[in-house]
Order: sequence, then structure tokens, then C-alpha cells
Amino acid sequence: MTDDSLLVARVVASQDTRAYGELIRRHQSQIRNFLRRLTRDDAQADDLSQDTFLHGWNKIHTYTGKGSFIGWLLKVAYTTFLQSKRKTDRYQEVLVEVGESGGSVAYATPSDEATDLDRFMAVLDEQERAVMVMSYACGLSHREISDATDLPAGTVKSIIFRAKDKIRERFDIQHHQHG
Amino acid sequence: MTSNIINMADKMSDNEDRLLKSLFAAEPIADDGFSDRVLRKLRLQLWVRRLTLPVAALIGFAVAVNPLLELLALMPSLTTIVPSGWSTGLSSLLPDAQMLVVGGMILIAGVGTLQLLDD
Repeated sequence: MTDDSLLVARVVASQDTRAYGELIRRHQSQIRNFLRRLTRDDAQADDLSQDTFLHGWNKIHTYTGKGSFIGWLLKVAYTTFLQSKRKTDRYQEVLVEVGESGGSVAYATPSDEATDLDRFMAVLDEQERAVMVMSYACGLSHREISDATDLPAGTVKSIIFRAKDKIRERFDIQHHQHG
Repeated sequence: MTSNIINMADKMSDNEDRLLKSLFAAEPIADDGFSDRVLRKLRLQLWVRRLTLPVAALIGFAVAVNPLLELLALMPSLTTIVPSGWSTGLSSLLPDAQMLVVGGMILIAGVGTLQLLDD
């Protein structure tokens, strides 16, 4: 199987869309899962994933080969998510100002149908959620998460520690089963 | 004793990590045409980008062609004016500053054309 770096080199050197297509096929699942965890909305997550790969094409020359390609792609995905959230927040503010809606864009409130993970995620703030998903769902190292979020590695560690603490405080996680 | 406590804490932390990993684990999402949709959109974007410059140049040419033709039509009359009444005729047509600008532009255009021919 061709290494990601070789495919990236082909994309950078000759704008090879077929090589980029192969990269998309390899990593679409992880990117879509990451964004689904953050947005809790499959359709929105898929739209953001599409934007992620389109932005990725334009920025691919900035991937230096230091760290994994999926780590770099998750950084693009996280930035895309934050940009979209900023826009949504602004839109919500406008709606609230004109009295159209008092809707919130916060994480989905856990309901009876919510999984354990939903309940865990609901107690975390946005940054903690992103870091925890990168760490436990995507299997990135602290260094890779630090690169992806532009946070110092020490801060990443303390965010994970804090998030685990929050989960521990509210749930007896030893007795939870996969949900 | 201390090392036993540390080992216990590590073990608990490992268990927690394993549990969190299993909770966060997600089924792989089937492609179902996602990659093709992204590629189609990407190729469309590239095609639009490649076409933008030639189309803009074409529109620019279409806009500029009429004034250019008018200018070309005026050229013979300009050449007749220059030799016959250089000092009186032309200075009465154009003020000095404008003359300088026009002269400069003709000079630049000439140099540019020569450079283009050279290339």
C-alpha cells in the first residue's frame, strides 16, 4: 500500500486529484467520525468533512511530513469545525437579537436515548470534547493533539486530566459499558 | 508500599483509559460515494479556477476592443498633425502636462512592445 506521504507528494507536485481521492478514501471515516462526535449531527458533520477535504486540498503544501497525515487532517477538520461554529454562533446571536429564536447550539442534551458517551460528552466543554475525541477515538498522541489544536503539549495533558476528572466526578465510569 | 500504591493507581488509570477508548470507539463509516462527491466538487472548483483568468481576459478584451479601434482610427490624423504643426497645432490641442503624460505612455508602450518582440 502506498504511503500517505507519497500520495501527498504526488498531490503537491502535480495536483493529482486521483492521489488525493485515495487519501480521502483512506481517511474519510476517521474525519467523519471525529466531526460527528463534535457536532452530534451526521448531515452537518458530513458537510464539514467535505469542507475539510476541500480546505485540505488548498493547504496540502503546508503538510511537511512531520507527524501523521491524519493528525494534520484532523487539525484542518477542527479548524473547519471552529470556523463553522463561530458562524453559527453569530447567526444565533442575530436570531436572538431579532427575537426569532432563543435556540442554543450547545451539545445535545442527554435524553433517554443518549448513549453513555453522549452523557460523558455533555459534561465536557468544546475544547475538552475535541481533545478527548482526538485522544481516545482517533488515537492521536499528545504531541499530535498539540499540533492539531495549536495548544502546548502540557495543556493537552491537563485538558485530558481535567476531562477525565469531570467524567469521574459525575459517573462511575468503571461500571459503564460501551454505548 | 508506595510503589504498590503507584502500581494500583496506574492500573486504575489503564483500566479507565481502556474503558474510555471502548466508549469513544466508533464503527468505521462506509464511504458510500462520499469520496466521489468530494472529488467531483474539487474538480469543479479547479475547473472554475482555471477558467476564471481566460474568461476575465476575454471580457476585458471585449470591453476594451471598441475604444482601441477608435484609438487606432485616430492614429493617422495624429501623424498628420505632428509634422505639420508640431509646436502650434498640438499645443493648442493638448495642454503641456497632458502632452507629457501621453508622450510618456507612448514611450512606455513602445519599450514594452520592443520587449515583447524580443521575448
